[in-house]
Amino acid sequence: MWQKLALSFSLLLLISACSPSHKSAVDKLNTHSYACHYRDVDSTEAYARYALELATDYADGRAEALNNLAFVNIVRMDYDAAWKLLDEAISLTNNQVELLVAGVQQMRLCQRRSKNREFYEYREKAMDALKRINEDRFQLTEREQQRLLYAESEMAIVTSTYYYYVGLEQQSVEALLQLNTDEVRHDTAQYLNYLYNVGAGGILSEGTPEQIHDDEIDFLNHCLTIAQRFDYPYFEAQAKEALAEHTNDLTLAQEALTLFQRYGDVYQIAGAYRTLASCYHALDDDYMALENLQLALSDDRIHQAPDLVASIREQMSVAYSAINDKPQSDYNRNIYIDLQEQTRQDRELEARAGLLDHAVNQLNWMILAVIGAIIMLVFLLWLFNHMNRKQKEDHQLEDLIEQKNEEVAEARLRVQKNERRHLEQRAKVSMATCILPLIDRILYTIDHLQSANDRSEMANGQLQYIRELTDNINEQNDLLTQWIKLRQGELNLHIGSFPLQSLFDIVSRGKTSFAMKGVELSVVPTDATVKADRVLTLFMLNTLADNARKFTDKGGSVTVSAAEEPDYVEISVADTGQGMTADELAHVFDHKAIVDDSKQKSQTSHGFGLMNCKGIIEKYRKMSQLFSVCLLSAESEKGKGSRFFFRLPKGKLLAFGFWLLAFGQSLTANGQSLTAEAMAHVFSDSAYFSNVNGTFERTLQFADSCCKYLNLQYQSQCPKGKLLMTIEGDGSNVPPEIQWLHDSVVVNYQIVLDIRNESAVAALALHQWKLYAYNNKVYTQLFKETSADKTLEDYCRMMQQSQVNKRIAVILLVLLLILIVPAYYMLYYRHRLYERFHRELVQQTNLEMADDELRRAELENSNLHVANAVLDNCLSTLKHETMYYPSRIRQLIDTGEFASLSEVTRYYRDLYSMLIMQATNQVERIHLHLRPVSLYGQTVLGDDNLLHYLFELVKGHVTAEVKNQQYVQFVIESQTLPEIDYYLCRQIVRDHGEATNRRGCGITMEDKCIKIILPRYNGQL
Amino acid sequence: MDNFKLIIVEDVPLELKGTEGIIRNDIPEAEVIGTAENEVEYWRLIKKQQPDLVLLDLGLGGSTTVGVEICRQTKEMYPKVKILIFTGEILNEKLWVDVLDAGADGIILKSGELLTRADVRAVMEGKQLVFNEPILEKIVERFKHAVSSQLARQEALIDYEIDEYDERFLRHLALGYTKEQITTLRGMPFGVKSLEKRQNELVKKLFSSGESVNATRLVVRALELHILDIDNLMPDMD
Repeated sequence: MWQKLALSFSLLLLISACSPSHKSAVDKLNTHSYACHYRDVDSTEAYARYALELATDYADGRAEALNNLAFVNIVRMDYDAAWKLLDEAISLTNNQVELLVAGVQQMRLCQRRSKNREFYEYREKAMDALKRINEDRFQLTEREQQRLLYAESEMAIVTSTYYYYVGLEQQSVEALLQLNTDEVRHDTAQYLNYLYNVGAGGILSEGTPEQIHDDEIDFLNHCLTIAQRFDYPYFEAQAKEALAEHTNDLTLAQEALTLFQRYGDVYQIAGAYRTLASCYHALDDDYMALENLQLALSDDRIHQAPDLVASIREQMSVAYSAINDKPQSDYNRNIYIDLQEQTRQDRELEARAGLLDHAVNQLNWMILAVIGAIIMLVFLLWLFNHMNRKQKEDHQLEDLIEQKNEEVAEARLRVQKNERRHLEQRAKVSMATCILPLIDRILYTIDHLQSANDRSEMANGQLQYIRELTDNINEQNDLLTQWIKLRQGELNLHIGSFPLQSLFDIVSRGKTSFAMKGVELSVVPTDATVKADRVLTLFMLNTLADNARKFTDKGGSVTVSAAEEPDYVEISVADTGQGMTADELAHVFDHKAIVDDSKQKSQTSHGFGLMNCKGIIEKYRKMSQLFSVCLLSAESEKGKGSRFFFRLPKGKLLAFGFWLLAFGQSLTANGQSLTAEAMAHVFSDSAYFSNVNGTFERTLQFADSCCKYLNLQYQSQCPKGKLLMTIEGDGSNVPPEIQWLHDSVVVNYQIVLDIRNESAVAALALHQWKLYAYNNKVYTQLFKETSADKTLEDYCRMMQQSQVNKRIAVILLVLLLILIVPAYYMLYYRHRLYERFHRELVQQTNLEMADDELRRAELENSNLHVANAVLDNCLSTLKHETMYYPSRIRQLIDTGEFASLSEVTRYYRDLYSMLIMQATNQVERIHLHLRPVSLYGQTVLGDDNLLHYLFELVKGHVTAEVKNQQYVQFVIESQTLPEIDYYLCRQIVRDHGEATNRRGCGITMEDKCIKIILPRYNGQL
Repeated sequence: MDNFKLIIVEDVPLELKGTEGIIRNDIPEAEVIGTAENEVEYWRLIKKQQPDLVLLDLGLGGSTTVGVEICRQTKEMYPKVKILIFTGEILNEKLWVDVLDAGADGIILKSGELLTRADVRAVMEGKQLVFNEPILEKIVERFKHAVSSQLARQEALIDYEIDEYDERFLRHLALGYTKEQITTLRGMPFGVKSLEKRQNELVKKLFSSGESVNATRLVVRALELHILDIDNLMPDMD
């Protein structure tokens, strides 16, 4: 057959000319190696090694060579080396056929080593490879078809062998019989393998035991014939060994041993010894049997195959028992049972459970990962949201609105100031207007003087009257002039928020001047922000620092610092200077006390700066409610130093807060518990103790009784059941307890096992070989089947269900993950956007309103400003143009130049009335903002700003009462006003009377008592 | 002119001196029974002896207008006492009206002729509404203006061929009536369609260029042209 292969190989060589340089050679070598598999292990190795060396860039070839080498190592029972080679082969290639071959060899290794669980894992992999191969099977080359044939047949045989050894005979049969014998015939070695395995027993089941026996011998003979014809020493040996087992033919067994020894298969050599031993045992030559069994165990390598060792040990136990060496027999039986424990049962479910576990684990991780991703996404969305909110809303519009509102407030402040200035202008105008009747009087008097035209006493009186009038006019002009001059260069405040540190930096630049005086200046850094006039604040700071320097002697120190309080920032300048007495301190802001001759001149300047500071603080306080926290104060101790401090309102600060969320995740675990019913097992215990005592006959009696009770228990569950346990069965049928197990009859199988084990031991001791064989077989089989974890099946089902569930969960979670963003958008963000849009719209409206308000304030402001400027102009024109005339008129009278008197006076009058008309027109354009204003417990109808100004001017204790329902009379006791302030007050009161048509409004100042009558608010504007 | 008792209310001493001079020179019949420079003093005087005439300055001390109140109270308490306002408020027309409402018999401005014998005699002889030159000038000016706008209205009605229905239609439009409401007015024979046609015709009449005009603009135009009298916008009486 391998010549045939060589032929087809050379054909292949001709066809594939363009393949890699050594491909054909490697393939050829591998083919040779394979052909030698069951003929000569050394040749197989040699070809394989050569192929391996040659196939440097031909991975598939290398993998095949490695597979062949692994075969060699398996034969030599160097399983670790074989494993490594197979791993390497698998890592080398993607060729599914070679992967399959490697997988099948791994299965073989697992089977030999009784690694039952792993067997299934590799079987699973091999099945995967096979599935992939089947997807495009027709594309395979002829050579690959050959390899596949080998792999498939080998897989069936290995699987069958595996099932056979774990006692699953049915599966074993099914695995082997699924082989297509017609196809397998093309690979002689595999065909032989098939024939041997069928013949070796356990596969054929039709007919009587004798018929089966004959058929098996036929198969083996067929195998033997072919093996001899095609020179397969391995299978020749196999066939002979199997035949020997069937017939207990010593010669055949001996020949098989010799053939195996020549071939070099360690496992099979041991097997052959065992067969030889069983032949001797059959011939009752147990000493020879023992000798052979010991030879079988002599090679340590076979300990890698527990099943083999177990069968040898079992035979040894039997053999020792036969020669009545009870301790040795027990010893070997114990080893046998221990090995059973090790190699027990089929691990298919466990393997599946393991795979499922693995898969479920992976799914768990996937679920975790997806959940993690979801949480991450949600967190990111939240974060995004958060940041978005912070940025977009807080910063842009609200800041803008705030800024705008500040601007509006500022503009209003300016309007207020301008209104007050305008009031002053109005007061000046009305003062100027008062002059006009006087001029008319002069004119009238002059007219009548002319008509009289004499120098009588009456005329003198008239002239005197004119003089008085001109004097009066002059006086009033002087007052007006003074007033105009007075209000020039008024202080303006520019309020804003600024960090205090910027001022501190400037102050600390003055360190040199302190150092020159030997005073140390220390400025404590601050991050406070204040709302005030920056320039004025710096002025105050410098003033206080300069004062401190002046009053501190050499070696002292001055400290500038700021303390932040909830409502204000306190800025203090402390020194270690001379300090002040309590009396001095009380008057420190009162300039009178400072002008003290006894003090040095430099120190008198103390008060002037402080007075200005006090003035500034007063100005702040007057300006707005916001500055009500403003304060300038000092504390001092004579000789120790002083601390001057002032308070300013806090500026606006923007603060950020970041949140972090911690996520916790817990996992749930599945728990399984199994409870088994306990039964009384008196007889099995008795049997055990009986064996211990060596009363083996009694043991069998106890076993019989035990079987009876077990049968009773069985019958209580299946009243019509006929499968009853006996101490010794016929061996042809399935043992009853095995059937019970399959039918799920509830009995304590541990007791069954115990009783079978004890029976076997007793039978062994009593040399009742058939009884022993039956009990041992039942024990072994039951052991294997019961030791299978029953829950595993449920577990597997559950795991599978859970796997499905988890897959669905993963899919759902992934869907969720995908949907989160659109859902977030649809359900939340869209609304948020909408909401924000609305809010922004509102804010926009607010902003626009604020804008309008600002524009209004600015417009009013500019109107007032223009009016004020115009009035300024009018008044100064009036002043300049007309100032000269009263004196001129007087001069004319004094010099008696009556001729031009009338003309001059008339001109003066016309000019004055024209100019005053111009001013009055300006005044009329401005209206009061009338609204109810609460003042001292009464509600007055008037202009808020002006009324407050009025009561700022008239400071003192105010009492208010209603007068005539229409008016409120305010009385301020023991108070006098400077003339200008009085004019201002009068103007305010007049304006209110005029605007409200309440003619009774007025102000009187008599005997240090000021009475102000203002319109009362009686529910309507 | 018979002799009469006079109280002068004047807060500016120099002015008082001048006024006393005028009375001494020109009106010897007047007997000055007292002068007051503020309200309190005045009330004290008038309680003591009731005068025939009070020469009242409107501005006293801290108030320019308290005279109005004094005038009103005096007229309430002493209806027979005549009050002649003598004031420097030469521009404050509103104040004049106020003080006339308060019952003053006349207003003399401290300008031009000042106080004349003729004016005082007129008051004493029982004349009401005695004014000196500057005030009369103003009054005539206002009167002319009012009359001329009346004339303008009549001319407009003729010029623009506004009939009775047009006028009523426009007037009620100006008062915020809808056309439907206007059709329900008594003596209004037209339906909505006719009113719309009328409105279109009015637009053609009142606006030279063919611009598109809404009801508001139409009504405003009617007011501008004095077709409607803004001081006399009243719905028809039912």
